[in-house]
Amino acid sequence: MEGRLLRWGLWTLFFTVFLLAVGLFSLSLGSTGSSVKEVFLSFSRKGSVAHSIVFQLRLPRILLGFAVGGGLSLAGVILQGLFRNPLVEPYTLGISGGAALGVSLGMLLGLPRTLGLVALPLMGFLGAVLVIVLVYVLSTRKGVMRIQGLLLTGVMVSFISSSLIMLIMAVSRLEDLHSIVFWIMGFLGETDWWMVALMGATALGGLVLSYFFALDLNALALGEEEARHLGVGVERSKKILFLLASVVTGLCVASAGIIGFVGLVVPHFVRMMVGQDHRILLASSFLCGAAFLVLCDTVARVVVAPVELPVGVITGIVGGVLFIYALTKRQAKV
Amino acid sequence: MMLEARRLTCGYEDGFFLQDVDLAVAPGECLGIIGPNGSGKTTLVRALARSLKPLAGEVLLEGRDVWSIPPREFARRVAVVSQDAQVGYMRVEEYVLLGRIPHYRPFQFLETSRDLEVADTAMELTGINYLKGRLLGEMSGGERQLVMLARALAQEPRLLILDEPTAHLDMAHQVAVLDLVRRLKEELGIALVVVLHDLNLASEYSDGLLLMKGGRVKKMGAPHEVIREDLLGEVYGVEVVVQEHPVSRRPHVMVISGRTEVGSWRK
Repeated sequence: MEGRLLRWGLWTLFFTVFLLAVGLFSLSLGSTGSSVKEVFLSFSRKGSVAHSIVFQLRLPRILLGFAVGGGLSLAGVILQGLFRNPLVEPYTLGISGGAALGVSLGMLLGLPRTLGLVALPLMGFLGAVLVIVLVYVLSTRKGVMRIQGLLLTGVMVSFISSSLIMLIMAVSRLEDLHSIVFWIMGFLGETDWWMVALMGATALGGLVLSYFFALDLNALALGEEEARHLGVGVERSKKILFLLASVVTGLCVASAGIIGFVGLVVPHFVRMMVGQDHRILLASSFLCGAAFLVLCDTVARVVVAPVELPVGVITGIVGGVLFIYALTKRQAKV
Repeated sequence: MMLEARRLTCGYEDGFFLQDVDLAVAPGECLGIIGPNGSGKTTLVRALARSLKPLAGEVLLEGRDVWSIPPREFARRVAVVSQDAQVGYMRVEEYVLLGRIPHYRPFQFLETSRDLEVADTAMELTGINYLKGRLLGEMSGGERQLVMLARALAQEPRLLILDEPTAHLDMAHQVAVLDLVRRLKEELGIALVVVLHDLNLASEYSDGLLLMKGGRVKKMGAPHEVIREDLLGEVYGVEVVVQEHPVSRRPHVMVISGRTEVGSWRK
């Protein structure tokens, strides 16, 4: 136990260094092909092309990737702990479906033409909030939130929203259809500093807030009744953690589309590395998720440049393959 | 009194009730709860452990209604080892340290040296020091039960509630667990409420027994007042012989086989 603090410190350092390395790597890589040296030079050369590529295109995109990746992984850890189910991810509860529905609806109504860039994230967030409220109300009876009910309601809401999205797609015009599909696949490229600041604050705020419940999550691993016996205010913790994970997820989806797998795979990997204790798991997953998403986005940017792939496609493929690899390796060990 | 229940009445949504249960446990005393399956033992334990709100009546911990005590404070005084509780996928030491959660101060994230000390003592008392680094899933039923007791002791409780602590254990482990329970009572003055299916173990280790039937208290008293042929025959529907244990002088039960009629056999 004495060595644990040191081990936690080393893991945090490791993931932080990994994150910074990924950030720098991504900053120096792109279709115009600059290098780490040029990135450093561009800091001092204001007004140069390199400067504007780094500061107006790549840096906001990377920071948004950090925030979204970290936020999704954080939400994944929280929800997996809350449900005591390793297959739960931020999208299981229908939040992504709600956001996608909002965006599709916005597209159908032609809102981007009247409201501009903010229209789709706004509609996405409204859709997510609607689902959060709906799922919360439907699964809470007499002040008690039933976790299994929450899961089932969430999955059903997901199905309903995806059906509605298909309906919207069926009646959409061709160019709107294309935008909807691309939005659903997830994309980090369309952003500005305002969005980056909002997402950064949300993700970091969520991380800080989650630490007030790290011990509760540890106790909840034993089940609700056992956690109650340890003096945990189970109902309050469940509700706050659900809302925290949902709002973070909702904002992630609204700002970057549906980027799958990060919230499922990253917590698993990190758990294999650092263990079950949420006091290290929350921060490690956040850092690792942030790095993972930016790494995937970098691949999406450069692999068939100048064409960019949707980042959700890359996270799905990379995450899935890595996960199967880890699982079979683990089974071989047992 | 450490723990008291007064006219305690509880129910679930499907209508199973605990009716008018009265009981009292003093510090350093062990109350054994016995009764057939479905007689309300676990419901009673949940009500005493502040997990199930009573419909009527009250549960008092040192004279205070348990529902007026904040959860953390309650958990610092009362520890519960549930029946077949899930223990999660973690190491023994991590699990035992979870027992310190109620003692954490606000904004405290790490165990203090005192927390580690208490957990160590709890593992020493239960004799599981050698299991420290092992995973919970990788141990026998007997070891698991001791680990759960250690976690409960790490809470430094004054009242310990155990729901069938000897279920699935062999004779040696049953005696080991209950001998430990007796030591806790005698040396630390902890009050105990223990649900037991084995009437002989209950008689051997309890200061008082509470016999339940259909959600009501059939009889409460010293072992020789409760372990009686007529009472057990009526409550369990089984013919038994009760004799005195040659060493402890406590009543012990022997069943007579072939005298029950459960279900109907088609001939």
